[in-house]
Amino acid sequence: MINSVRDLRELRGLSQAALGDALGVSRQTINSIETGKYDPSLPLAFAISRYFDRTIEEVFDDQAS
Amino acid sequence: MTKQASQSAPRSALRIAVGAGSGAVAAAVLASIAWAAGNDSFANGIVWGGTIGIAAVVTLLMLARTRFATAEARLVAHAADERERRLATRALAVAAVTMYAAAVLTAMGTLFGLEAEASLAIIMFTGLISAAVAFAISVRRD
Repeated sequence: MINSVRDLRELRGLSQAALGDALGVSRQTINSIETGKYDPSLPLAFAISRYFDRTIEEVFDDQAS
Repeated sequence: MTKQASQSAPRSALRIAVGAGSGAVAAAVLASIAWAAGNDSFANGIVWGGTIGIAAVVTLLMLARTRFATAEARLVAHAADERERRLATRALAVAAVTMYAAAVLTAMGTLFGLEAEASLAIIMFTGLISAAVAFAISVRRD
């Protein structure tokens, strides 16, 4: 599953640590999500999407190859 | 800083002290029982294992309260996030498989004179080490 978390984070000028603090997860978890190594749980995916004022489909795409 | 936040550090320090003290008392009681039963090497193992284990846990708990907290420290302090908990579950699954393999091998070893106490120690340490190594690798790779 690919996502646009890195783009959205950089658009807001946030560090991975700052986004992690805001979402209650570690910097390493944010890095793993951005690099596609870790697919977040549904509650965390919703939290990320709400944080960036986007729908979950706008942030995460499971159809992309 | 809120009143609640300012009180949390001394409280967690107290919890760490109480936990470490309870662990030390439990280890001392178990070692005394082992000494009374005449099994000195088992008692020494409890004393050394208990001391090292308590020191490791206290170190990780103290580390978890700093900004240098590692995933291992957060896990011990019950402050791990969902990814770290998921990787810990996977590491425990790895430990279960390796302990099963160790149990089979040590059972075969008893046919060739391996003592029961040594078999138990091998199985236990195989589980501990494989869980720790599996978690340390996966949390840095995944």
